[in-house]
Amino acid sequence: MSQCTVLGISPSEEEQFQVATTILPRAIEQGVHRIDRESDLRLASLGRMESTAPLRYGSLLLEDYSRSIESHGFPSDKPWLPPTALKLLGKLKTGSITEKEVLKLMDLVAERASAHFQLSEGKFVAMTFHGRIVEASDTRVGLLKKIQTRKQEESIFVWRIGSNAFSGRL
Amino acid sequence: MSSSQHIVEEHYTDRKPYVRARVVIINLETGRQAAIERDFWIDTGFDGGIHVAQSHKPDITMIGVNPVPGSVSVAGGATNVAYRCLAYLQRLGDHEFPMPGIETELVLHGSSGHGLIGLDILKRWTARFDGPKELLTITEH
Repeated sequence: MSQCTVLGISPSEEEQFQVATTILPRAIEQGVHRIDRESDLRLASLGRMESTAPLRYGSLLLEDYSRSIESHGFPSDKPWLPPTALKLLGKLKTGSITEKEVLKLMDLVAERASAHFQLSEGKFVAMTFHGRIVEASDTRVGLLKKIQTRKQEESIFVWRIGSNAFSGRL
Repeated sequence: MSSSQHIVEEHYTDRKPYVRARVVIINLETGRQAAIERDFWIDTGFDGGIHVAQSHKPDITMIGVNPVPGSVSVAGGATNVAYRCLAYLQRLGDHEFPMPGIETELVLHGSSGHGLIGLDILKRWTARFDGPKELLTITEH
């Protein structure tokens, strides 16, 4: 909130505003904790179904990413991702992650990033595993064209907002 | 007077609408290319561009293009990790498209022996599947 909006109000209104600004961060924090809890519950139910076999070289080639999973957009001591996603990021760095866990990680990151950046449903987006949006487009080809020639400092993935697949069987 | 042009007119192979096609991946910085030529199933149930087996990935990384991970939904509703890059459809059946070809999404996933050509490619033409005659016709208007 800019200071200009506060200057033109009466003392009583200002008092109300100050109360609101002290409550707001707490409300957001509670909201984030609720999302984290829900994420944990979803992962717990997923964990019962998935294979624990790590991905090997040649299947998903995730070792390509272990060297370059570095956060450039958000400091690691103040993460904005839920704990579940951070745990999965750790596993991705070490290469001991299953395919289902990679999908879960991408889903969690995309969900948080699309809510934070208010991305509209159906957009095709390239983002880092820490949730930084690299490119967005209305079409698959448009997005792929944009990222094809870009040098990526950080590993990225592509996602369709509001969907669990970029493309596939209808 | 009709101004339509046949892109493909082929009988089914093994009772399925397969078409031979060539897809090329180009490193836009160096000009290096990787080509994939094989039979593709014309698949109206696939909403993407072109789908090939993940075993082609090393051919693509070799020219300096790094396919990006994402997800793909498969028959049955499951979701898998798949890799994607920009590619160009240069030939479909006997029909050659103007260079560099039709820009499309290339999905690298699974281990199927044939590829898929999906709705993102087919949306520009009229496709007719003549079941009794086992004849596929793709026409451009």
